[in-house]
Amino acid sequence: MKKSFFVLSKNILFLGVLMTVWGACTPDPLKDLTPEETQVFITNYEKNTKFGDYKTFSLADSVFTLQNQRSGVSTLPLDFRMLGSVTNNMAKRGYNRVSKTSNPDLGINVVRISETQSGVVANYNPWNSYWGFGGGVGGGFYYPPTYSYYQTTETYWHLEIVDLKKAQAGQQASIIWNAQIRGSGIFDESTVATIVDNVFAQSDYLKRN
Amino acid sequence: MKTRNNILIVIFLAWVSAPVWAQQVIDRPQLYKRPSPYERYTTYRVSVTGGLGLPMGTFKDFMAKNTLHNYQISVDFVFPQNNFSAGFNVGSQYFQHRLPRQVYRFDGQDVSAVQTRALSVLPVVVTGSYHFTKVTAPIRPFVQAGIGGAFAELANYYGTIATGDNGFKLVAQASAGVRVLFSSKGNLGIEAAATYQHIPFDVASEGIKDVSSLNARVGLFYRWW
Repeated sequence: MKKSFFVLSKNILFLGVLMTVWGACTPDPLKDLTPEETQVFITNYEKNTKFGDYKTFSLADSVFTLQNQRSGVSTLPLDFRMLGSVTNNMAKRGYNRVSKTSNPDLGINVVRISETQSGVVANYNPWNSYWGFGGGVGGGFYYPPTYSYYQTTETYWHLEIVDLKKAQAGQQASIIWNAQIRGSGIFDESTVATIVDNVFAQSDYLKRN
Repeated sequence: MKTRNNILIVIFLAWVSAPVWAQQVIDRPQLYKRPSPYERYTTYRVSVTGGLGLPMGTFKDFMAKNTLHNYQISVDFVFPQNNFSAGFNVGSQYFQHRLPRQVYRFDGQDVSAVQTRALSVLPVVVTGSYHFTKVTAPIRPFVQAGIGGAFAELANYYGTIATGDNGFKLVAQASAGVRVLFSSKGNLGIEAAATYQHIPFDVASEGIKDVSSLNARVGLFYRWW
């Protein structure tokens, strides 16, 4: 009785090991991805907005940083490079930069977001089923699939354009455009300008007529 | 006297015809034409095959690349008299296609990314086969039908951001192929088969209703009793 149970459990163990080995034959689809290939630029826009109706924009002279619940400002050389690239691209699209006090039509925020997630997941369905980007900061972002106990930190750029022209007193101004820049190598001073150029290139509607 | 002569004649005839009796015993044909064990017992067969996989059905629109990562191990119980066999197989198939960077336009959203599309399927299928020649024939063409389940994982990575779905799905297989023994009384042979594998798998975000494929595999089989 005891022996047969031992043999049975050994067989089940063997079968389990066999299936695990068989399953492990599946290759990792992302293992040969270069840093440049990991970069993803996501832009969202408010579909009813006529971007040609706006003339001026205002941009803070520092980058906002968000790290879980904490926030602050940052003025690293990288941040100035980032702000400069955004300003250049907006100027190329025909918008004039003005100071915050002279009634700009558009307000631009550049945010560096760092989010740390930790927890436990059951791994039957590791995928978040669909795109989860909502408007605004901190909500509905996607976290990469992980198993068992996990902790991940992802840092990415978030750009947003706020409609100050139509904003009413006492109400929150609406976001008419935002961009997320994610992946490896996005905090490299030498490439950040090219990345911002790409983000604007895919937003061809964003221009003054 | 007469009876004595009669006895002598019988002894003489027996002596003369004895070799003839002996020869009849040696020639008894049924002694040497007993059926082969494969005709007498249910016997076993294992085969390991691998080869090409071609995406089919709605899956073809998603996956533009074929694969060579397509393996199968099958075990069969071969019946002695009726040309049928029953068994199961375990497979591993993996498709991958990487698209160069481009901008994907959605409703109010544009995404610039390098897409990596991947499908991995681990099917476990119960099968029944019919062979067109007898169990002792050195060449046995066959047709096979199978039904089972598979762990299927369909992913579309934008950079490293994963989208997609996975789950345990139904599998239906239809195959045709041939097994050829290296020697007519031997145990080892070559197997070649084509399988249409249908797996219903609804992934609305990619417009997919199934992840079917056509598999062409070649390999070795071993039979024993």
